[in-house]
Amino acid sequence: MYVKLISSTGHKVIVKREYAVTSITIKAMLSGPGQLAENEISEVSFREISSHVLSKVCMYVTYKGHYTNSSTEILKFPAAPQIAPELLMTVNFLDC
Amino acid sequence: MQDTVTTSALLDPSHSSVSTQDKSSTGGHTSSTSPQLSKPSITPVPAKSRNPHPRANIRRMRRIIAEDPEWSLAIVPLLTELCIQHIIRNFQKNPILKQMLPEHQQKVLKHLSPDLPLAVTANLIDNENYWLRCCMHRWPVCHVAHHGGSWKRMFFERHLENLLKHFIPGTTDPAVILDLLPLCRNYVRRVHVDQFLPPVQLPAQLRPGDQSDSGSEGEMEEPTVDHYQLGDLVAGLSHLEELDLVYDVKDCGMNFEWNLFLFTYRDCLSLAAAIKACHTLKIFKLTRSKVDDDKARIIIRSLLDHPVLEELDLSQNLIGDRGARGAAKLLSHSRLRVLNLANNQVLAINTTLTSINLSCNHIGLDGGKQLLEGMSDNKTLLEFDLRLSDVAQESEYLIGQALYANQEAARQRALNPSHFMSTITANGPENSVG
Repeated sequence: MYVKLISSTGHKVIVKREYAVTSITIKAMLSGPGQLAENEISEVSFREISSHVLSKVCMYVTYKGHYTNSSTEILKFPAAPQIAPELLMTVNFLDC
Repeated sequence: MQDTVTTSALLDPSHSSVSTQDKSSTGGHTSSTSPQLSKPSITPVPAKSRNPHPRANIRRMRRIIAEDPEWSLAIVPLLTELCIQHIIRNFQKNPILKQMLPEHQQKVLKHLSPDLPLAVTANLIDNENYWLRCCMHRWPVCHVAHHGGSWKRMFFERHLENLLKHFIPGTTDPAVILDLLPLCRNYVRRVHVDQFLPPVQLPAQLRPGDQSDSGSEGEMEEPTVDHYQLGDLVAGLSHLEELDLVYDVKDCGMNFEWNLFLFTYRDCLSLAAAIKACHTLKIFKLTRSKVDDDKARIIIRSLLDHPVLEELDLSQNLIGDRGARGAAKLLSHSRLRVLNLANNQVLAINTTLTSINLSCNHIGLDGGKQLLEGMSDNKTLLEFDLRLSDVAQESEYLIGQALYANQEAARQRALNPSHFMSTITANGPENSVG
Protein backbone atom coordinates (compact mmCIF):
# COMPACT_ATOMS: atom_id res chain seq x y z
CA MET A 1 0.00 0.00 0.00
CA TYR A 2 2.74 2.43 0.99
CA VAL A 3 6.46 2.55 0.50
CA LYS A 4 9.07 4.40 2.48
CA LEU A 5 11.78 6.23 0.55
CA ILE A 6 14.87 7.21 2.51
CA SER A 7 17.18 9.99 1.39
CA SER A 8 20.93 10.29 1.88
CA THR A 9 20.40 12.30 5.07
CA GLY A 10 17.98 9.79 6.57
CA HIS A 11 14.89 11.79 5.69
CA LYS A 12 12.00 9.35 5.19
CA VAL A 13 9.13 9.98 2.82
CA ILE A 14 6.11 7.66 2.72
CA VAL A 15 4.07 7.55 -0.46
CA LYS A 16 1.47 5.27 -1.89
CA ARG A 17 2.96 2.32 -3.70
CA GLU A 18 0.81 2.92 -6.76
CA TYR A 19 2.30 6.43 -7.06
CA ALA A 20 5.86 5.38 -6.30
CA VAL A 21 5.96 2.83 -9.15
CA THR A 22 5.63 5.73 -11.59
CA SER A 23 9.39 5.61 -11.37
CA ILE A 24 10.61 2.65 -13.38
CA THR A 25 13.66 2.34 -11.15
CA ILE A 26 11.64 2.26 -7.93
CA LYS A 27 9.25 -0.22 -9.51
CA ALA A 28 12.14 -2.50 -10.33
CA MET A 29 13.52 -2.14 -6.82
CA LEU A 30 10.16 -3.04 -5.27
CA SER A 31 9.51 -6.02 -7.48
CA GLY A 32 12.41 -7.95 -6.03
CA PRO A 33 12.12 -11.29 -4.25
CA GLY A 34 10.31 -11.45 -0.94
CA GLN A 35 6.68 -10.91 -0.10
CA LEU A 36 5.64 -8.53 2.63
CA ALA A 37 2.50 -8.62 4.65
CA GLU A 38 -0.27 -6.33 3.59
CA ASN A 39 0.27 -3.81 6.36
CA GLU A 40 4.03 -3.72 6.10
CA ILE A 41 5.80 -0.81 4.38
CA SER A 42 8.63 -1.50 1.93
CA GLU A 43 11.71 0.62 2.40
CA VAL A 44 14.01 1.86 -0.33
CA SER A 45 17.16 3.78 0.52
CA PHE A 46 18.76 6.24 -1.86
CA ARG A 47 22.20 7.07 -0.56
CA GLU A 48 22.93 9.56 -3.36
CA ILE A 49 19.65 11.48 -3.39
CA SER A 50 19.32 14.44 -1.05
CA SER A 51 16.17 15.04 0.95
CA HIS A 52 14.95 18.13 -0.91
CA VAL A 53 15.27 16.34 -4.24
CA LEU A 54 13.60 13.18 -2.96
CA SER A 55 10.70 15.15 -1.54
CA LYS A 56 10.28 16.88 -4.87
CA VAL A 57 10.19 13.55 -6.65
CA CYS A 58 7.56 12.31 -4.27
CA MET A 59 5.53 15.44 -4.85
CA TYR A 60 5.71 14.75 -8.56
CA VAL A 61 4.62 11.12 -8.40
CA THR A 62 1.67 12.13 -6.27
CA TYR A 63 0.88 14.99 -8.65
CA LYS A 64 1.03 12.66 -11.63
CA GLY A 65 -0.99 9.95 -9.94
CA HIS A 66 -3.68 12.44 -9.07
CA TYR A 67 -4.03 14.07 -12.48
CA THR A 68 -3.52 11.08 -14.75
CA ASN A 69 -7.06 9.81 -14.49
CA SER A 70 -8.64 13.10 -13.60
CA SER A 71 -10.68 15.42 -15.77
CA THR A 72 -9.89 18.50 -13.75
CA GLU A 73 -7.59 21.22 -14.98
CA ILE A 74 -3.99 20.30 -14.45
CA LEU A 75 -2.12 22.84 -12.37
CA LYS A 76 1.44 23.76 -13.08
CA PHE A 77 3.88 21.66 -11.13
CA PRO A 78 5.73 23.92 -8.69
CA ALA A 79 9.35 24.09 -9.73
CA ALA A 80 12.36 25.01 -7.63
CA PRO A 81 14.98 26.73 -9.76
CA GLN A 82 17.83 26.07 -7.36
CA ILE A 83 17.59 22.30 -7.52
CA ALA A 84 16.79 21.94 -11.22
CA PRO A 85 20.13 20.42 -12.32
CA GLU A 86 20.31 18.03 -9.37
CA LEU A 87 16.67 17.10 -9.81
CA LEU A 88 17.24 16.42 -13.50
CA MET A 89 20.09 14.03 -12.78
CA THR A 90 18.04 12.24 -10.14
CA VAL A 91 14.99 11.99 -12.36
CA ASN A 92 17.13 10.59 -15.12
CA PHE A 93 18.26 7.87 -12.72
CA LEU A 94 14.76 7.19 -11.42
CA ASP A 95 13.30 7.29 -14.93
CA CYS A 96 10.10 9.15 -14.23
CA MET B 1 14.53 11.56 13.32
CA GLN B 2 11.59 13.12 11.62
CA ASP B 3 8.99 11.31 9.61
CA THR B 4 7.11 13.08 6.91
CA VAL B 5 4.05 11.72 5.17
CA THR B 6 3.08 13.09 1.83
CA THR B 7 -0.51 13.67 1.12
CA SER B 8 -2.69 14.00 -1.86
CA ALA B 9 -5.00 16.21 0.17
CA LEU B 10 -2.68 19.07 -0.63
CA LEU B 11 -3.91 18.83 -4.19
CA ASP B 12 -7.61 18.18 -3.60
CA PRO B 13 -9.16 18.71 -0.19
CA SER B 14 -12.12 16.53 -1.12
CA HIS B 15 -9.94 13.43 -0.89
CA SER B 16 -9.66 12.02 2.60
CA SER B 17 -6.24 10.50 2.89
CA VAL B 18 -3.05 10.62 4.83
CA SER B 19 -2.13 14.12 5.81
CA THR B 20 1.17 15.82 6.38
CA GLN B 21 2.48 15.91 9.89
CA ASP B 22 5.89 16.40 11.48
CA LYS B 23 6.60 14.52 14.66
CA SER B 24 9.74 14.28 16.67
CA SER B 25 10.20 10.75 17.93
CA THR B 26 12.22 9.65 20.90
CA GLY B 27 13.20 6.10 21.82
CA GLY B 28 11.93 4.39 18.69
CA HIS B 29 8.45 5.83 18.75
CA THR B 30 6.90 5.04 15.38
CA SER B 31 4.62 7.40 13.57
CA SER B 32 1.00 6.61 13.06
CA THR B 33 -0.12 5.98 9.55
CA SER B 34 -3.81 6.24 10.22
CA PRO B 35 -5.55 8.90 8.21
CA GLN B 36 -5.66 12.18 9.99
CA LEU B 37 -7.06 15.43 8.74
CA SER B 38 -4.68 18.29 9.33
CA LYS B 39 -3.51 21.43 7.67
CA PRO B 40 -2.00 20.54 4.27
CA SER B 41 1.41 21.88 3.33
CA ILE B 42 0.13 23.29 0.03
CA THR B 43 -2.91 25.51 -0.27
CA PRO B 44 -5.79 23.60 -1.85
CA VAL B 45 -7.02 24.72 -5.25
CA PRO B 46 -9.88 27.17 -5.03
CA ALA B 47 -12.93 25.93 -6.87
CA LYS B 48 -13.20 29.06 -9.05
CA SER B 49 -9.89 28.51 -10.80
CA ARG B 50 -10.76 25.00 -11.97
CA ASN B 51 -12.01 24.48 -15.47
CA PRO B 52 -14.89 22.06 -15.02
CA HIS B 53 -15.40 21.37 -18.70
CA PRO B 54 -12.53 19.86 -20.75
CA ARG B 55 -14.16 21.01 -24.01
CA ALA B 56 -12.97 24.52 -23.16
CA ASN B 57 -9.51 23.31 -24.19
CA ILE B 58 -9.85 22.42 -27.85
CA ARG B 59 -6.44 20.81 -28.06
CA ARG B 60 -7.29 18.44 -25.29
CA MET B 61 -10.33 17.25 -27.21
CA ARG B 62 -8.13 15.82 -29.94
CA ARG B 63 -6.55 12.48 -29.31
CA ILE B 64 -3.59 13.01 -31.62
CA ILE B 65 -2.08 16.25 -32.93
CA ALA B 66 0.08 14.99 -35.77
CA GLU B 67 1.50 18.36 -36.83
CA ASP B 68 3.06 19.02 -33.44
CA PRO B 69 6.04 16.70 -32.86
CA GLU B 70 6.30 17.86 -29.24
CA TRP B 71 2.75 16.85 -28.38
CA SER B 72 2.34 13.73 -26.33
CA LEU B 73 -0.60 11.52 -25.36
CA ALA B 74 0.53 11.64 -21.76
CA ILE B 75 -1.60 14.14 -19.90
CA VAL B 76 1.04 14.76 -17.27
CA PRO B 77 4.50 15.20 -18.78
CA LEU B 78 7.49 13.39 -17.38
CA LEU B 79 9.40 15.12 -14.61
CA THR B 80 12.43 15.09 -16.92
CA GLU B 81 10.52 17.20 -19.41
CA LEU B 82 9.27 19.52 -16.69
CA CYS B 83 12.82 20.07 -15.44
CA ILE B 84 14.11 20.75 -18.94
CA GLN B 85 11.29 23.18 -19.65
CA HIS B 86 12.00 24.94 -16.40
CA ILE B 87 15.69 25.24 -17.26
CA ILE B 88 14.80 26.62 -20.69
CA ARG B 89 12.40 29.21 -19.26
CA ASN B 90 14.92 30.41 -16.68
CA PHE B 91 18.02 30.13 -18.81
CA GLN B 92 18.64 33.86 -18.90
CA LYS B 93 18.75 34.18 -15.11
CA ASN B 94 20.29 30.79 -14.42
CA PRO B 95 22.19 29.42 -17.41
CA ILE B 96 22.67 25.73 -16.77
CA LEU B 97 24.11 23.68 -19.59
CA LYS B 98 27.41 21.96 -18.92
CA GLN B 99 26.09 20.24 -15.78
CA MET B 100 23.53 18.27 -17.77
CA LEU B 101 23.81 15.04 -19.67
CA PRO B 102 24.44 15.39 -23.43
CA GLU B 103 20.94 14.31 -24.40
CA HIS B 104 19.44 16.87 -22.04
CA GLN B 105 21.78 19.55 -23.34
CA GLN B 106 20.58 18.86 -26.87
CA LYS B 107 16.96 19.22 -25.82
CA VAL B 108 17.64 22.49 -24.06
CA LEU B 109 19.67 23.91 -26.93
CA LYS B 110 16.96 22.94 -29.38
CA HIS B 111 14.41 25.05 -27.58
CA LEU B 112 16.45 27.98 -26.32
CA SER B 113 15.33 31.33 -27.60
CA PRO B 114 17.64 32.96 -30.18
CA ASP B 115 16.97 36.31 -28.52
CA LEU B 116 18.88 35.52 -25.35
CA PRO B 117 21.48 38.13 -24.38
CA LEU B 118 24.91 37.48 -25.84
CA ALA B 119 26.45 37.98 -22.42
CA VAL B 120 24.74 34.73 -21.40
CA THR B 121 25.23 32.65 -24.54
CA ALA B 122 28.43 33.81 -26.20
CA ASN B 123 30.97 31.91 -24.16
CA LEU B 124 28.63 29.16 -23.00
CA ILE B 125 27.03 27.73 -26.12
CA ASP B 126 29.16 26.24 -28.88
CA ASN B 127 26.42 24.22 -30.51
CA GLU B 128 26.28 25.15 -34.20
CA ASN B 129 22.57 24.38 -34.50
CA TYR B 130 21.76 27.01 -31.92
CA TRP B 131 23.80 29.64 -33.72
CA LEU B 132 22.25 28.54 -37.00
CA ARG B 133 18.85 29.34 -35.56
CA CYS B 134 20.15 32.68 -34.30
CA CYS B 135 21.46 33.56 -37.76
CA MET B 136 18.29 32.49 -39.54
CA HIS B 137 16.18 34.38 -37.03
CA ARG B 138 18.06 37.56 -37.73
CA TRP B 139 19.08 37.45 -41.39
CA PRO B 140 17.04 35.93 -44.20
CA VAL B 141 20.07 35.13 -46.35
CA CYS B 142 23.10 33.48 -44.84
CA HIS B 143 26.23 32.31 -46.64
CA VAL B 144 28.04 30.41 -43.95
CA ALA B 145 30.81 29.45 -46.38
CA HIS B 146 31.97 33.07 -46.33
CA HIS B 147 32.61 32.69 -42.62
CA GLY B 148 34.63 29.53 -42.54
CA GLY B 149 31.57 27.28 -42.33
CA SER B 150 30.91 28.27 -38.72
CA TRP B 151 27.50 29.67 -37.81
CA LYS B 152 28.76 31.04 -34.53
CA ARG B 153 31.57 32.88 -36.26
CA MET B 154 29.10 34.17 -38.85
CA PHE B 155 26.73 35.46 -36.20
CA PHE B 156 29.36 37.44 -34.34
CA GLU B 157 31.02 38.77 -37.48
CA ARG B 158 27.77 40.01 -38.96
CA HIS B 159 26.60 41.35 -35.63
CA LEU B 160 29.81 43.33 -35.21
CA GLU B 161 29.70 44.54 -38.80
CA ASN B 162 26.15 45.71 -38.32
CA LEU B 163 27.12 47.71 -35.24
CA LEU B 164 30.04 49.30 -37.08
CA LYS B 165 27.95 50.17 -40.12
CA HIS B 166 25.42 52.05 -38.04
CA PHE B 167 27.82 53.69 -35.61
CA ILE B 168 27.55 57.48 -35.62
CA PRO B 169 30.57 59.21 -34.05
CA GLY B 170 29.55 61.59 -31.32
CA THR B 171 26.10 60.08 -31.05
CA THR B 172 26.44 56.33 -30.59
CA ASP B 173 28.02 55.16 -27.37
CA PRO B 174 31.40 53.52 -28.11
CA ALA B 175 30.71 51.05 -25.32
CA VAL B 176 28.16 49.41 -27.61
CA ILE B 177 31.03 48.02 -29.63
CA LEU B 178 33.68 47.73 -26.93
CA ASP B 179 31.36 45.74 -24.65
CA LEU B 180 30.98 43.17 -27.40
CA LEU B 181 34.73 42.52 -27.64
CA PRO B 182 35.08 40.12 -24.69
CA LEU B 183 32.20 38.08 -26.09
CA CYS B 184 33.29 37.88 -29.71
CA ARG B 185 37.09 38.09 -29.70
CA ASN B 186 37.52 34.33 -29.91
CA TYR B 187 35.21 33.92 -32.88
CA VAL B 188 35.72 36.89 -35.19
CA ARG B 189 38.26 36.30 -37.93
CA ARG B 190 37.05 38.67 -40.63
CA VAL B 191 35.55 42.14 -40.48
CA HIS B 192 33.93 43.46 -43.63
CA VAL B 193 32.45 46.94 -43.26
CA ASP B 194 31.20 48.65 -46.40
CA GLN B 195 29.83 51.74 -44.72
CA PHE B 196 31.18 54.24 -42.21
CA LEU B 197 28.80 56.98 -41.16
CA PRO B 198 30.16 60.46 -40.52
CA PRO B 199 29.22 62.40 -37.38
CA VAL B 200 26.01 64.37 -37.39
CA GLN B 201 26.62 67.90 -38.65
CA LEU B 202 24.64 70.49 -36.73
CA PRO B 203 24.01 73.80 -38.54
CA ALA B 204 26.59 76.42 -37.54
CA GLN B 205 25.22 79.01 -35.16
CA LEU B 206 25.98 82.70 -35.72
CA ARG B 207 27.98 84.33 -32.98
CA PRO B 208 26.69 87.68 -31.66
CA GLY B 209 29.46 89.68 -33.35
CA ASP B 210 28.95 88.19 -36.79
CA GLN B 211 25.85 89.96 -37.94
CA SER B 212 27.01 91.20 -41.33
CA ASP B 213 27.67 89.12 -44.39
CA SER B 214 31.18 90.47 -44.63
CA GLY B 215 32.23 88.70 -41.45
CA SER B 216 35.26 86.53 -41.77
CA GLU B 217 34.31 82.97 -42.46
CA GLY B 218 37.86 81.82 -42.06
CA GLU B 219 37.57 82.06 -38.31
CA MET B 220 34.92 79.34 -38.19
CA GLU B 221 36.29 75.91 -37.40
CA GLU B 222 35.74 73.19 -39.94
CA PRO B 223 33.43 70.53 -38.61
CA THR B 224 35.17 67.23 -37.97
CA VAL B 225 34.05 64.35 -40.16
CA ASP B 226 36.29 61.69 -38.69
CA HIS B 227 34.70 58.28 -38.70
CA TYR B 228 34.79 55.55 -36.07
CA GLN B 229 38.40 54.98 -35.06
CA LEU B 230 39.23 51.30 -35.33
CA GLY B 231 42.22 51.21 -33.01
CA ASP B 232 40.52 49.79 -29.94
CA LEU B 233 38.43 47.38 -31.95
CA VAL B 234 41.31 45.87 -33.91
CA ALA B 235 43.40 45.65 -30.75
CA GLY B 236 40.62 43.76 -29.02
CA LEU B 237 40.12 41.17 -31.76
CA SER B 238 42.92 38.79 -31.01
CA HIS B 239 42.28 36.46 -33.96
CA LEU B 240 41.53 38.97 -36.69
CA GLU B 241 42.84 37.78 -40.04
CA GLU B 242 40.99 39.85 -42.62
CA LEU B 243 39.96 43.50 -42.62
CA ASP B 244 37.89 44.72 -45.54
CA LEU B 245 36.85 48.37 -45.32
CA VAL B 246 35.02 50.81 -47.52
CA TYR B 247 34.57 54.38 -46.28
CA ASP B 248 31.25 54.85 -47.99
CA VAL B 249 27.68 55.78 -47.13
CA LYS B 250 24.85 53.74 -48.55
CA ASP B 251 21.27 54.73 -49.26
CA CYS B 252 21.88 58.42 -48.68
CA GLY B 253 19.15 59.25 -51.19
CA MET B 254 18.39 62.96 -51.39
CA ASN B 255 20.75 63.63 -48.49
CA PHE B 256 23.76 63.18 -50.73
CA GLU B 257 26.76 65.35 -49.92
CA TRP B 258 30.36 64.93 -51.01
CA ASN B 259 31.64 65.17 -47.45
CA LEU B 260 29.84 61.92 -46.63
CA PHE B 261 32.58 60.10 -48.51
CA LEU B 262 35.66 61.63 -46.93
CA PHE B 263 38.36 59.28 -45.68
CA THR B 264 40.06 61.84 -43.46
CA TYR B 265 43.68 62.20 -42.55
CA ARG B 266 42.94 61.26 -38.95
CA ASP B 267 41.02 58.20 -40.12
CA CYS B 268 44.06 57.20 -42.11
CA LEU B 269 46.51 57.66 -39.23
CA SER B 270 44.29 55.73 -36.85
CA LEU B 271 43.79 52.92 -39.34
CA ALA B 272 47.51 52.72 -40.10
CA ALA B 273 48.34 52.43 -36.41
CA ALA B 274 45.68 49.79 -35.93
CA ILE B 275 46.82 47.51 -38.74
CA LYS B 276 50.44 47.92 -37.80
CA ALA B 277 49.70 46.62 -34.32
CA CYS B 278 47.59 43.72 -35.55
CA HIS B 279 50.05 40.87 -35.97
CA THR B 280 47.45 38.34 -37.08
CA LEU B 281 46.20 40.33 -40.07
CA LYS B 282 46.71 38.41 -43.30
CA ILE B 283 44.37 40.25 -45.69
CA PHE B 284 43.81 43.99 -45.74
CA LYS B 285 41.43 45.67 -48.17
CA LEU B 286 40.67 49.37 -48.35
CA THR B 287 38.67 50.06 -51.50
CA ARG B 288 36.39 52.76 -52.91
CA SER B 289 37.50 55.19 -50.23
CA LYS B 290 39.13 57.99 -52.25
CA VAL B 291 42.56 57.09 -50.92
CA ASP B 292 45.12 59.38 -52.53
CA ASP B 293 48.89 59.09 -52.72
CA ASP B 294 49.59 60.59 -49.30
CA LYS B 295 47.13 58.40 -47.46
CA ALA B 296 48.22 55.35 -49.42
CA ARG B 297 51.83 55.97 -48.43
CA ILE B 298 50.82 56.29 -44.75
CA ILE B 299 49.00 52.98 -44.93
CA ILE B 300 51.79 51.27 -46.82
CA ARG B 301 54.45 52.61 -44.47
CA SER B 302 52.63 50.99 -41.55
CA LEU B 303 52.61 47.67 -43.39
CA LEU B 304 56.34 47.54 -44.07
CA ASP B 305 57.85 44.40 -42.58
CA HIS B 306 54.45 43.21 -41.39
CA PRO B 307 54.97 39.67 -40.07
CA VAL B 308 52.01 37.90 -41.70
CA LEU B 309 50.31 40.16 -44.25
CA GLU B 310 49.74 38.26 -47.50
CA GLU B 311 47.18 40.26 -49.47
CA LEU B 312 46.76 44.00 -49.92
CA ASP B 313 43.90 45.43 -51.92
CA LEU B 314 43.85 49.19 -52.53
CA SER B 315 41.81 49.04 -55.70
CA GLN B 316 39.27 51.64 -56.83
CA ASN B 317 40.96 54.57 -55.13
CA LEU B 318 42.89 57.63 -56.29
CA ILE B 319 46.39 56.29 -55.94
CA GLY B 320 48.86 57.74 -58.39
CA ASP B 321 52.47 57.10 -59.21
CA ARG B 322 53.83 58.01 -55.77
CA GLY B 323 51.48 55.57 -54.10
CA ALA B 324 52.38 52.90 -56.59
CA ARG B 325 56.07 53.42 -55.84
CA GLY B 326 55.29 52.90 -52.16
CA ALA B 327 53.46 49.70 -53.00
CA ALA B 328 56.43 48.55 -55.04
CA LYS B 329 58.66 49.10 -52.04
CA LEU B 330 56.26 47.09 -49.90
CA LEU B 331 56.71 44.12 -52.22
CA SER B 332 60.29 43.74 -51.12
CA HIS B 333 59.62 44.44 -47.43
CA SER B 334 56.84 42.03 -46.66
CA ARG B 335 55.44 38.57 -47.25
CA LEU B 336 52.93 39.94 -49.72
CA ARG B 337 51.56 37.47 -52.24
CA VAL B 338 48.70 39.49 -53.75
CA LEU B 339 48.74 43.21 -54.48
CA ASN B 340 45.71 44.80 -56.10
CA LEU B 341 45.90 48.39 -57.34
CA ALA B 342 43.17 48.13 -59.95
CA ASN B 343 41.21 51.17 -61.02
CA ASN B 344 43.52 53.79 -59.62
CA GLN B 345 45.36 56.73 -61.12
CA VAL B 346 48.65 54.96 -61.70
CA LEU B 347 50.26 56.25 -64.90
CA ALA B 348 47.00 58.07 -65.61
CA ILE B 349 48.51 61.36 -66.66
CA ASN B 350 51.84 60.06 -67.75
CA THR B 351 52.75 61.47 -71.15
CA THR B 352 56.47 60.90 -71.13
CA LEU B 353 56.98 57.18 -70.84
CA THR B 354 57.53 55.56 -74.20
CA SER B 355 59.08 52.22 -73.30
CA ILE B 356 58.59 49.74 -70.47
CA ASN B 357 60.35 46.44 -69.99
CA LEU B 358 58.61 44.03 -67.60
CA SER B 359 59.97 40.86 -69.15
CA CYS B 360 60.88 37.82 -67.09
CA ASN B 361 58.55 38.74 -64.24
CA HIS B 362 55.78 36.69 -62.68
CA ILE B 363 53.07 39.20 -63.51
CA GLY B 364 50.41 36.56 -64.11
CA LEU B 365 46.97 36.67 -65.67
CA ASP B 366 45.44 39.26 -63.34
CA GLY B 367 48.47 41.50 -63.60
CA GLY B 368 48.20 41.31 -67.36
CA LYS B 369 44.58 42.43 -67.24
CA GLN B 370 45.46 45.39 -65.06
CA LEU B 371 48.28 46.40 -67.38
CA LEU B 372 45.79 46.24 -70.23
CA GLU B 373 43.42 48.53 -68.35
CA GLY B 374 46.24 50.99 -67.82
CA MET B 375 47.06 50.95 -71.50
CA SER B 376 43.53 51.89 -72.45
CA ASP B 377 44.13 55.61 -71.75
CA ASN B 378 47.78 55.74 -72.60
CA LYS B 379 48.67 57.40 -75.91
CA THR B 380 52.42 57.72 -75.58
CA LEU B 381 53.78 54.27 -74.83
CA LEU B 382 55.45 52.78 -77.85
CA GLU B 383 57.30 49.74 -76.50
CA PHE B 384 56.15 47.29 -73.89
CA ASP B 385 58.27 44.19 -73.31
CA LEU B 386 56.21 41.45 -71.66
CA ARG B 387 58.19 38.42 -72.68
CA LEU B 388 58.22 35.51 -70.19
CA SER B 389 55.89 37.41 -67.82
CA ASP B 390 53.08 34.81 -67.62
CA VAL B 391 50.60 37.33 -69.01
CA ALA B 392 47.60 35.87 -70.81
CA GLN B 393 47.76 35.66 -74.59
CA GLU B 394 44.67 37.79 -74.99
CA SER B 395 46.07 40.56 -72.79
CA GLU B 396 49.34 40.48 -74.72
CA TYR B 397 47.49 40.74 -78.02
CA LEU B 398 45.33 43.68 -76.90
CA ILE B 399 48.30 45.52 -75.39
CA GLY B 400 50.06 44.94 -78.71
CA GLN B 401 47.08 46.48 -80.52
CA ALA B 402 47.22 49.56 -78.28
CA LEU B 403 50.94 49.89 -78.86
CA TYR B 404 50.44 49.59 -82.59
CA ALA B 405 47.87 52.39 -82.46
CA ASN B 406 50.29 54.58 -80.48
CA GLN B 407 53.10 53.80 -82.88
CA GLU B 408 50.91 54.63 -85.86
CA ALA B 409 49.85 57.93 -84.29
CA ALA B 410 53.47 58.79 -83.56
CA ARG B 411 54.42 57.98 -87.15
CA GLN B 412 51.64 60.22 -88.42
CA ARG B 413 52.80 63.06 -86.17
CA ALA B 414 56.33 62.63 -87.44
CA LEU B 415 55.20 62.63 -91.08
CA ASN B 416 52.78 65.55 -90.85
CA PRO B 417 53.92 67.97 -88.21
CA SER B 418 52.44 70.94 -90.11
CA HIS B 419 48.95 69.43 -89.96
CA PHE B 420 48.82 69.93 -86.24
CA MET B 421 50.40 73.40 -86.35
CA SER B 422 47.94 74.80 -88.93
CA THR B 423 45.05 73.74 -86.77
CA ILE B 424 46.40 75.74 -83.87
CA THR B 425 47.02 78.97 -85.86
CA ALA B 426 43.52 78.86 -87.40
CA ASN B 427 41.95 78.95 -83.96
CA GLY B 428 44.28 81.68 -82.62
CA PRO B 429 42.92 84.88 -84.27
CA GLU B 430 39.34 83.91 -83.53
CA ASN B 431 40.09 83.56 -79.86
CA SER B 432 41.95 86.89 -79.68
CA VAL B 433 39.01 88.78 -81.15
CA GLY B 434 36.71 87.22 -78.58
